[in-house]
Amino acid sequence: MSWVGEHWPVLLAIAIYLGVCLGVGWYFQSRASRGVSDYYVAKRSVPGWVVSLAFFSTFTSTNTYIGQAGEAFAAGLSWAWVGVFWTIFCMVSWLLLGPRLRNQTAGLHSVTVPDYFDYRYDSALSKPTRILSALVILFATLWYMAGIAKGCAHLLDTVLGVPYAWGVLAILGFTCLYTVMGGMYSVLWTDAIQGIVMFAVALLMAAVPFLYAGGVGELMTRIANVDHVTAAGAPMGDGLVTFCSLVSFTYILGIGLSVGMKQISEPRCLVRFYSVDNAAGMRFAMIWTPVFLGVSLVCVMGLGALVHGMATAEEAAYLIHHTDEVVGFMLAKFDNEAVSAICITGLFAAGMSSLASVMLIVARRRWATSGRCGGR
Amino acid sequence: MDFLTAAAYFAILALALLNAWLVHRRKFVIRDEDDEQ
Repeated sequence: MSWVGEHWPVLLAIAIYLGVCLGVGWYFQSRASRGVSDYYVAKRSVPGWVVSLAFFSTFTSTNTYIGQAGEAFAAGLSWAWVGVFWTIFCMVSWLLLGPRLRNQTAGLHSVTVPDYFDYRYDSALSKPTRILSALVILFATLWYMAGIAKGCAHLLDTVLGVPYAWGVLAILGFTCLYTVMGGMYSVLWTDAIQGIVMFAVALLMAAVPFLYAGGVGELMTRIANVDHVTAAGAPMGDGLVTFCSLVSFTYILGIGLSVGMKQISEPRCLVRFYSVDNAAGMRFAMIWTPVFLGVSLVCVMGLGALVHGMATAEEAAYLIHHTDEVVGFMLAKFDNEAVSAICITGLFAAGMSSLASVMLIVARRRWATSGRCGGR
Repeated sequence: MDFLTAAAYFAILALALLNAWLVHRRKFVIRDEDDEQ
């Protein structure tokens, strides 16, 4: 069987997804090229529901859907406590920062986080602060961008057999194309589409272990007492369903705080607030963003623990040392082409939504270090 | 599943509901670039 014949469901899903992203970029091309405010903050005229979904899809990435979901394979269902902290930070971000940043950046004609520091705290130190923050953001986001591109390329390599280097090139190329074409309009609208896909995929992924086992009761009985072993080789027993039996709460707290606080500090999250159109849009986003994030985290953060109900003792002994492969294993074991195609597209979208936002942030650094916005 | 483990899942959903209530009772305005500060 040819390569296309073998992989056509995944190829079709990814082709539709990429076509929509490029279409959005093309649609907003002329609007984004009207000026700096259009390109970088979409003229502060994007509906709240779009910004809400964009915030959700930007914060959650393949790290959440593959890394954190897989981590529950070793940590058990208690891993969902990480999601509690993430949801708290999401609330704090929208309740405390959202409306304030939107109003202040509009009043100051700020389009980037560094220039906000400069205009807001107008003093002798504001210019060095602006340059320092731009350099910090540039340094941090470049590594992050490389990490996401690497993760997506590995996914393409594993699923479609695309060579790693070509995968990186294709992902960066496509994301760059629609980001450059449509600026913040393109990033927000494609992020919103990616957010819808990711939300649906979270629900679908959570359903897979239950469908495989034949029901909620059956799966919970299977994982309540397993003959699998921990990474250290100790028997798991009822550890998967017992609070912090397999992982310390200190570790959960560390991951919960360090990752969760990205929502109140990372420019790719904060610049979302700049583009909300009006009070009704802001109210919608403030209410629904924690809902989108919370429901997704409920579905994803305990997924790895549920996969124990699909694995033999030998498979579990391998996966406990390779938790990044747990989601891939789950899809392969379920063996349904349509489900795999939808989930892989969602995982791909999870990576690209973060990548596009990071690209625009990196582009902003050139703007941020080059001088003041002419509008002020 | 023990109580504290299950509590995490309910806590996430409860926080989302609490947040909706907090936003619902709050009043705020959004200003545009041309508005007076």
